[in-house]
Amino acid sequence: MDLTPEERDELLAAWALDALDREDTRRIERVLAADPELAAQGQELRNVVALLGESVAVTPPPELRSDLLDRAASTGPATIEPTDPLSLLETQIEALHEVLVQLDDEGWTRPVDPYPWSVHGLVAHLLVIERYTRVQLGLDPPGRTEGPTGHLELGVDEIEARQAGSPIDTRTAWRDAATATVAALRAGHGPSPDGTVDFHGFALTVGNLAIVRAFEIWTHADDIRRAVERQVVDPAPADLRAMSRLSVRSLPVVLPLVAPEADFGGARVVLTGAGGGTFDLGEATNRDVLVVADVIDYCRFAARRMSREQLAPVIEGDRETADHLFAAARVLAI
Amino acid sequence: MTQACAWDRAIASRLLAGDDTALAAAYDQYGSLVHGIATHLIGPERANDVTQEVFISLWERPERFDPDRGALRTFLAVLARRRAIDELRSSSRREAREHRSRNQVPETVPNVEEAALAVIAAERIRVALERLPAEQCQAIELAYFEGLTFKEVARATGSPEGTTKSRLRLGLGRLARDLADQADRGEPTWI
Repeated sequence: MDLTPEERDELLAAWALDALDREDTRRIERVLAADPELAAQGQELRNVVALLGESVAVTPPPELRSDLLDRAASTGPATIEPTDPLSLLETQIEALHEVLVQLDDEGWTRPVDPYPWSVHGLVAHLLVIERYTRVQLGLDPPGRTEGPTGHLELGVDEIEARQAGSPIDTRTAWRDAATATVAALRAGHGPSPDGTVDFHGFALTVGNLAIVRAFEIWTHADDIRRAVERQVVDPAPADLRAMSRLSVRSLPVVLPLVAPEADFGGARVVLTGAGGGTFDLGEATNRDVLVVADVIDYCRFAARRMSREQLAPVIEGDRETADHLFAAARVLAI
Repeated sequence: MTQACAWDRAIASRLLAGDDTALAAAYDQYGSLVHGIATHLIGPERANDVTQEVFISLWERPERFDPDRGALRTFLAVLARRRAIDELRSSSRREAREHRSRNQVPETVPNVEEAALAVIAAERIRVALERLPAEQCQAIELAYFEGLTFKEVARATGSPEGTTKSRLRLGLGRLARDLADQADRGEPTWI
């Protein structure tokens, strides 16, 4: 039944006061759902009603606060489960492949910031790294990656040579190698799940290595999108959760590399937005600093694709510790 | 001002990320409001449970607070009142009133700054309520502070339901204008 404007206004005031029975509440809420302007008026009235509560405000007993926080510690909002590492890697491989199949001849020649390579050269680099990864995982015999082993120095001759050849061949070789790696790991080849792999001097579990690879492939997919003037793509929340969680949890491990003298007590890192979360690092009772940042921005910052100024984190507490954490966040960016 | 302020938005996003220090901050800011509303309706003992329920609800289902739809203060005040009224209606009204009268002075903790702000807020709102015509003030007080529906207010005052709804509408409108005028005069307000 339609309401007259007067009925609507009267129901709205009673609704704001929560003074309607269920039937009238449903009637007015149906109207509000279809009328944003009226809904805003209703919200204004509710703001006034909320002020009525200030006239009876009473400080709660002190134990209520500690009881509440104790109870909150044992429960909490549902967080998004992270994508499993191999599915994450597979998703990012396919996402990059999707970008590559849409490139025209000119697109393959575009320079890619911040590298000395074209798009073609960057994909050749990914192929070289994929082969290196396979060797480290024990999926291929050693010997195919001789020479410098730094991430950007690996296979420079091959990258150079491939840039003179067919980009389609390079794309196919990279994707075949990358999907073969995922398939082999799914089949249980390579190290045991508890085993670690040396990846440029870092000892990583197979799962963490897959996440690191996915992080790099996502970053390069965005590099290529930027190079050909396309919009960058935010990963799905569950994918972000997997990547950001590994990055943040690794901070205490890599902190000594950037601040060997620092006396790290503890920190809380809060990554906001879908796929984010709250991470307590070090000793929870000895927290030096609270850092809050957007989860996607944090990932781009960790990948060195966003500056600290652009990240604009909220920092409460010891700023020096925060500085060390931010420096540590970028150590794994390769 | 319908939308939430920047602080509300920051708290909302931190709660969604599972940061319990944001819950503590929200409690420190609005605990007195929530507890006061609940205490007024159902007495201090059961108000403790309602206060905790309101904040646990915010903690466990933070997505229910949408900063685009309103301020955190409003969201919590509505929730507190609703929970307290549910509690009130689930038990005998007489028992609740007796309970409230027995515990009229709740145990409180001195917090000078907060107490001072609460006194100022309470005074401004009391004055604004007193400026309303008596029948409008009574209707609002019965609806808000006694937790009655407008139909129950009508029965309690012996007025037709239509008249009661009009009184609530006119009274709330005047209250809003009065508080807005205070803001225009540069007096600190909560609106």
